Amino acid sequence: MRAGRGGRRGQRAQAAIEMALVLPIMIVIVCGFVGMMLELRAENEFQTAVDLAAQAALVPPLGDQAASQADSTYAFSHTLNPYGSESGYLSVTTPVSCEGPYLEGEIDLNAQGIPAPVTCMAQANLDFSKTPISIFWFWSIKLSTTAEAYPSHYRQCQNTSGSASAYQC
Amino acid sequence: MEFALVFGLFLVALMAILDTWIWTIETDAADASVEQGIGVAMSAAGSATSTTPALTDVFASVAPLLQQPMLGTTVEDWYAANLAALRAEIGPNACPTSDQVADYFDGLHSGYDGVGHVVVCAVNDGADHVTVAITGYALSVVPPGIGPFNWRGWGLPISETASVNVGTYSP
Repeated sequence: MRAGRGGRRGQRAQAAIEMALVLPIMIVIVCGFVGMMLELRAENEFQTAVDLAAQAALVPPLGDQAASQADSTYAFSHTLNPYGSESGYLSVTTPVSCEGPYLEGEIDLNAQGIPAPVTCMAQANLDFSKTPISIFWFWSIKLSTTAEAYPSHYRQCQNTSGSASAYQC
Repeated sequence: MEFALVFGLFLVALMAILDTWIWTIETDAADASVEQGIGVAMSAAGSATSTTPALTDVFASVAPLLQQPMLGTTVEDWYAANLAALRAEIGPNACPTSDQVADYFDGLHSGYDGVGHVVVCAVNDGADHVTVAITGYALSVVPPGIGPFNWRGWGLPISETASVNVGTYSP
């Protein structure tokens, strides 16, 4: 009898140890996988926001730098998480900024006749510290994204007279 | 007893992993579609110098991108006749939220709790901005009452939106 009770106690202890070993590993695997998916997802959304910001910078007339910057900022901020669905782990550290000859009122053509693009870049931090995923992802990830958009071959006119640009009005 | 506990935990973990994986695929497809939709809407309707965004052209352009990754979820056109009542409720300058879409289809008794439909919406917000949104609840393996927040059973919320100034393009 005594040996039987001891055996059952031993089995229970073994089960508890097994559980203590398996449970943290399972939690880490789940958190790691979920974190990885959220990271990919946030990266994709961030890239989309910068892509659209670059496209939006080309909407105002050639050389209207203030309007281009305003349009790209609007597109970026209204594309990246407009309803707060990812608040808590994605924060923008460097807001989108764009540059390129188009914004300066010029269209530089390369040898193939393709105009120089507008280039936009932004940076953000991915930080899961406010979520249960931080059990595994306890470090923050820096996202840095660049996007280019090319002025179209029509619709764009130069404001300055006497320009040699193929896009002159 | 031990097996039941571990097996239960394993199933919960498996469902969490599966759902996150499905959600990532679906939202990534929605992201790409929204980006393409904005490009189409900005290309202006009618003529090259038109100032009217091509809102009704967006669905035809993005539906092929969305159908397959949505894994059985129906992709709906905001301007389709079957959504006329929802359009009238939301108004011409806004897109519906995920819950508004699900509530609408729940009212039509389509899908459990209105789950299984996403709407491709493109509108002019009335302040010279074009907004493209893909919203609704996609199918998932989250049983009713288990999902976080106020998620609906067997559904994952999809809500991707982008907004840009209306492109006039003319000098």
